[in-house]
Amino acid sequence: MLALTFETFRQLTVDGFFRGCSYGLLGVGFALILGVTGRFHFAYGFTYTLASYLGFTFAFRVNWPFWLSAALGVLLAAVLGALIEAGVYRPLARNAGATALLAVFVAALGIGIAGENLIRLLWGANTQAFYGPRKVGYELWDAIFINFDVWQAASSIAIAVLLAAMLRYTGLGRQIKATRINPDLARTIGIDADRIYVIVFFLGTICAGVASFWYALKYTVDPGMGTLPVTYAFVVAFLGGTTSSPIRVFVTGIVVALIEQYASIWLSVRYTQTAVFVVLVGYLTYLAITQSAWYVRVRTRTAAGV
Amino acid sequence: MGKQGWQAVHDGRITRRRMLLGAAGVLGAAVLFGACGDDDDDDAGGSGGTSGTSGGTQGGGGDVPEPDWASLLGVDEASAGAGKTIDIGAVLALTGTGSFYGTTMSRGLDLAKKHIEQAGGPTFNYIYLDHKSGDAAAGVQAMNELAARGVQAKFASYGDNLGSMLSLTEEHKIFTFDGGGGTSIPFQGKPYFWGTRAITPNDTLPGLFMWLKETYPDKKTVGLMGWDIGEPSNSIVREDFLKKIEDAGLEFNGLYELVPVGNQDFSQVIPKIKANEPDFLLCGHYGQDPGSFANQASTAGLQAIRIGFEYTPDGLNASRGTYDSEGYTFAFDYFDPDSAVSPFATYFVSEFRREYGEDPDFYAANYYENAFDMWELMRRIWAEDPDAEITGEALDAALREDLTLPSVYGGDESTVGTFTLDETTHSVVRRQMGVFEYKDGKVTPKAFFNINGEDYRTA
Repeated sequence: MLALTFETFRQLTVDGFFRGCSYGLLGVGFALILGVTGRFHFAYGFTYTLASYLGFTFAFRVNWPFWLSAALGVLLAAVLGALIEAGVYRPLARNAGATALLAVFVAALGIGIAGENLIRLLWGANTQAFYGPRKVGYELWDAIFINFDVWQAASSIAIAVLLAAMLRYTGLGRQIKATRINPDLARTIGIDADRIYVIVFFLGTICAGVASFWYALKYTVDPGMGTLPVTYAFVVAFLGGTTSSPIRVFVTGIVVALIEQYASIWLSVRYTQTAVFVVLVGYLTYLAITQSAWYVRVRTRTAAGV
Repeated sequence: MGKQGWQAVHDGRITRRRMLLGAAGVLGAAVLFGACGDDDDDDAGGSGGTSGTSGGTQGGGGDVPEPDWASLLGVDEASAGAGKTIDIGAVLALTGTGSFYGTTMSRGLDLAKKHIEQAGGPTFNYIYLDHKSGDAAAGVQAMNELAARGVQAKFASYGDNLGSMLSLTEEHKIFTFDGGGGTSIPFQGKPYFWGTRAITPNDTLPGLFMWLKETYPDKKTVGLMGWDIGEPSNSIVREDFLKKIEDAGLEFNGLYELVPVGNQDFSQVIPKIKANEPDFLLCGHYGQDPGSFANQASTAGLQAIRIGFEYTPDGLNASRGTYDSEGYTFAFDYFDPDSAVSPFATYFVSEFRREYGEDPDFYAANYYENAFDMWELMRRIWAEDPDAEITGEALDAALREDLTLPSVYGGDESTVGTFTLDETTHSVVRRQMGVFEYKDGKVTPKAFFNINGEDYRTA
């Protein structure tokens, strides 16, 4: 039996917070896309991966400055995200009619698989190390972390807050929210819903790109690196609510990561991902119960004092 | 607005569009040329580059003359199989986190194919299939494809993809050499499946413990973190591991953490190790994983003496300079290209350097050797009947006639090295291993020993 010390708990918490910032950002981007457009954009993993590969290429193959390369990688991936919406999903949804959801879902899976293999073809299947600024370690509250953790958390929080502010206080944000509620009605009041969809894909992919960049800087990049993040993005977006504020989704990401971290106290590390999905299933069960006719009847009777 | 003015605005729009297109073109070209450029510049950024004696880029090579295969390996023209084409499967980690292995193993196989043809042997038609770095479903799919094609022999890795391919290997009688994962403890004695490397980490443990006790006499406790290879394999490996600790007079401190294959984020396991830190932490994971772990363990300030069981450029890359700055100690049947002595080994090293511009590693060496050993078995069959069909059963029987095979390890200036397999376990009974340290771009041997710590000596 391993002894659980307060130091272990603190380290798990700090690591969980930083990891959660990544999950949160991924969830924010995915929720924005899914909530506004209704598209299950599973090619999100491909654009996530591509952002790092492009940054890697500009920095180490073309020898452009590091931060410029990283920013270009994220931006180009975001442009690709927008192009996927404009060039693939939109025409497909328009022509598929009632089966649009399924058609887009299948297309997204196809783009994800094809994209991963394209990366493999262009850059090779080997892992690549993405060297950037010097790593610096810090110790706070007896927990150890590095400068990349701090920068990642700061940039992720900033993006989530900016997105939330944009949605709440700007005209574009109001147009996005109007489109999210009812795109057809939004069109009748002069909002170009197609343009909003493209913007949302661009912004959502920026979130993925930034998360990818920090991951690449801490670990290594490989063509299959986008598979797990897209799963987490989906879980976080679903638990946080696809129409919720980015801040709520972001906090959900941190909670998911902390659950995963704390689960490792009692479970072997190999089972900690399962803990996240147990929470997801529990939440789905809760929703199913609270929305069932039986539960509504019981609540109505209780409220009426019967 | 006059025509001239309109034209000016229009021209301006064209110019902007052209500028945008130009910028897009520059970026596109940069990506394309960059992506398709040299794939081997692992030392980009400097801090964790591949360099030095082993695993580093050597270039040159090709200066060792082709050996006289007839005298060296006993190749007889009548049974060499010239003009024949043999289909052989190669189910490797071509994609995924272990794709490094697929690349280096296939290099060894491809070079051997060329040399076997030069030496008057058959043409090996490799059918490369991908098990996606430990994906059981992909392994089974590959096996079904090989069976459908009627393939009789294959090279495999990851302990025939962590055991998932073994039942189909037996069912379809596909003779298999696994020079990457070996048999491991759980997969010993499986029909048609032979592991040509020492079992890692278990075979290494007795010799490694001798070295640890000698080097750190005041330290006693041992903990392990290793790949989760599923049950019952995990338990079998654990039992053997605990027994070997006890046999060595060391003490297990209760730390036994299993991590997913290909894991890069160790933030969950490191606090658990710190909470119960042993004197010696044995790290039974492979590929880039030990590098990622070393990097994070260093940041977290782990004090335990960490021992890995593999050294690869991929791990070096993932360590982001930690291997170079702090050193990385590992124990296994490591192939040191600079210590190659036999004509077989020196020719291999020299030709590998010429072909690929870098030193061969352990996996390239093993798969090169495996291909030659497969040819050796074929020659035994054709020596009996030059027109005999090569089947899995025939290859298995030919191996059992004599379980000693040529090797690029060992030997001397005039004699080829050998290794010997066990008829029951299908694993090696003799194979030189050692403890090594990588630091500052150089691998230094610390001790050498054989299975069960036999012939132990410090370097």
